[in-house]
Amino acid sequence: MLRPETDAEAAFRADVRAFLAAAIPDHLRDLTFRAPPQDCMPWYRALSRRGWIAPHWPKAFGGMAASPVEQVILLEEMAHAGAPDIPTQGINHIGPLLMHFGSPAQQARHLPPILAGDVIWCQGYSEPGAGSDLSALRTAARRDGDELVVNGHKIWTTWGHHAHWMFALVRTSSAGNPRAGITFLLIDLSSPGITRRPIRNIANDDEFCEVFFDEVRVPLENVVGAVDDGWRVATALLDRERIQLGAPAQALRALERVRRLAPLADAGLADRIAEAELAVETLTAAFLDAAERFAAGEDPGAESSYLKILATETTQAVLDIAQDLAGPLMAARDPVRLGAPLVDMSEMFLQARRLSIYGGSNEIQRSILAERVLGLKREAR
Amino acid sequence: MPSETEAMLAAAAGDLLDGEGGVARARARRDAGGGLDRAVWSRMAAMGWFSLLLPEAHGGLGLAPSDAVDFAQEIGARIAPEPVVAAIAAQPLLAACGTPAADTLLARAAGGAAVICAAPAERTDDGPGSAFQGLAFAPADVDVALAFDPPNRRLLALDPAEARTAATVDGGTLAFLADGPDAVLVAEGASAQAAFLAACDVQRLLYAAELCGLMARALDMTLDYMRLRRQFGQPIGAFQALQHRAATHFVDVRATRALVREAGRAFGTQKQSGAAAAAKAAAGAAALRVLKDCIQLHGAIGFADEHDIGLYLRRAMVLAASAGTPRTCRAVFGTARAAELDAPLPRHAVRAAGPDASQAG
Ligand SMILES: Cc1cc2nc3c(=O)[nH]c(=O)nc-3n(C[C@H](O)[C@H](O)[C@H](O)COP(=O)(O)OP(=O)(O)OC[C@H]3O[C@@H](n4cnc5c(N)ncnc54)[C@H](O)[C@@H]3O)c2cc1C
Repeated sequence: MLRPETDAEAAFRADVRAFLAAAIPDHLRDLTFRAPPQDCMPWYRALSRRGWIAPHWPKAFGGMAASPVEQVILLEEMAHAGAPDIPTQGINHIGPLLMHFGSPAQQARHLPPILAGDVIWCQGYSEPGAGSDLSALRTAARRDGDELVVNGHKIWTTWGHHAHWMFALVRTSSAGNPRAGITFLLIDLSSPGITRRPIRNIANDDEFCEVFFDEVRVPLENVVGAVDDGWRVATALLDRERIQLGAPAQALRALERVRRLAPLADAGLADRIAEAELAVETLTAAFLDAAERFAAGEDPGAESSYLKILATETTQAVLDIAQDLAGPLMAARDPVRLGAPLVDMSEMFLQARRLSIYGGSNEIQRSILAERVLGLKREAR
Repeated sequence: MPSETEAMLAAAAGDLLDGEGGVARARARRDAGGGLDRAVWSRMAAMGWFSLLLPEAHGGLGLAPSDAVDFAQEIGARIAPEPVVAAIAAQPLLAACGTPAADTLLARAAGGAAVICAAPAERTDDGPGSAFQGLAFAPADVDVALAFDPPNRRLLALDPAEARTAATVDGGTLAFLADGPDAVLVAEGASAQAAFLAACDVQRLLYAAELCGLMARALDMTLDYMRLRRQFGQPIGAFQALQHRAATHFVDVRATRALVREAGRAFGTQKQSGAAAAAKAAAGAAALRVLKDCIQLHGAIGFADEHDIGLYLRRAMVLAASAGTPRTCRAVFGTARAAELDAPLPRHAVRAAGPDASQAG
């Protein structure tokens, strides 16, 4: 942040720093990938006990109601301390969605375990034939008494093989507009009829998977909102979700890579290092601006798509700079010890390819900006 | 325009590599955790691949580096995991040294019996007098890596199996080569240095060509996918935003290939080193640019290991870093260009400039 901190903010930073120095186990520090649940969830729970797991959640739901500046302080300190990455589908996606659309019973059942880190969630939207064109989804649910019976195939489900629950979009009607027959469903992944197959990614990490449903029975009480009204439920909060997607979490982690490499780089690279610092400051300013407007009651609107683009492309640009600093080690697969620190050369660069693909690809975000914000005519599709 | 020899060589390379299994070999090698298929290596040697640039007097084909540009593109298109370019550069280097040690190594390399590679290393030691240390791309089962120790002007034959290594993203190896009791002095002095620099130039040119072939093929794969993959009721290739990106990559691919061919023409002249570095700098940067977007244009399947496009990105990272990263090569080119600009024009050029100049001559 370029702005000066108040005394209270500076004290908060000192608190966070001291906590992180003491609390992050050594084997989880400086990881360049998301550690599997047995390693990563204890850390999630430690943050939860400290009260810092859900900075942007309101106090009424057990969150921290942190100011945007406090959120940035947390992110900066975590990146600097090499804190491990944690799963965010619960905190950033289904949690806030249930706060708005969930029944009191659904809220009472699902929100506390998300905060506590006892239940891991995954997002079951994408299918082989339904990526950017999500409303083409075909995983179907037919009504049978007070249950829905699900058959179909989800893919690219992050942490699907580690998750206990999935929030999914399923087709309950194929008549009329494809968006009209979609239902938002909470699925207990221990139900009979579910098969999961991990998929390895280009960074050699089996972080996502595909999930097959064969006559999976889900009680109707697990529908969020109404049957056939799932599209609205899933998309109504996208604008504000994108504010969190625009938080400088990944970009700060990437910047940390550049900072570690800086002492090893020759003087000619000082400009590249400053470029990385500047890019992340720009993103931080954009996030603070959007989050503060939102906190003041402004509707983020479609404009928030710009944050998703900025956050992801900033991270990628910073990692390009890290690759440049790494010299021939840019092609090393594993972190290499150069002097004291272990420096990752390629893992984050490869992992970062995802950022512009998921969460609504950056092409789709650009179309949203062009059509809904800039008022340009939509391409025939 | 490629000559008939060049075209034949390139076609034969494509046939051999396809016959051996094409891209699947790159995946298999990665899955096996590295390793060189010696049987394939011998077949490559039997086709004369590693002696393409070896003078005929030494039993080679005596071709010029520019004759091998199309050949190297075919290797890149199939992301063959063997260190072919490094082996091609090694033989003329050894021939130029002319020392008994070099002759012995050249005899060992014949027929592909020993895998001998030129290994331009980024130095990691502290300068003159200190023992040589450097980082080079060399598979652990390369038998001999030829590394040059500039301050002491010594060409060393090193055994990468003795070196500390790090795995590369394509399943190959980076070796931290170091002078040691097992190092063999192959040649020394100014002539050894000149021969090694020429081998670096050869590698830069041919790696650049390999990268051209790689990115051209990756773009073709991406175009095929854009025709096939349907979203919103039409092929994603019908979206103009994506069409423009594909067109931009075509510009990159074609311009880089033209530059690499142009650089080949500088071989054998003063401009050779600058030109080779220019080609390598441009190709390394362009390939990374194009490949990152090829992944993006594939969407999530491009991010999955099971799709080949990710193998192309990872191979591009290794080739872009081999024999000088884009940054290193830009620096070499920049220095060469500055020297050229400082140099006086050759006499015949001055004459042509006007009557005064001609009187002065
Ligand atoms: C690492 C990772 C994790 C993921 N995790 C999850 C998850 O947990 N749950 C889940 O449901 N999904 C997940 N996804 C899937 C993600 O949501 C989709 O990848 C994304 O929606 C794009 O769909 P697609 O991959 O099918 O690409 P496609 O839609 O086939 O797109 C291919 C290319 O075409 C472009 N394109 C498509 N349509 C247009 C258009 N109209 N105009 C211009 N360009 C266009 C795209 O931007 C992309 O570049 C994940 C993906 C990745 C990579």
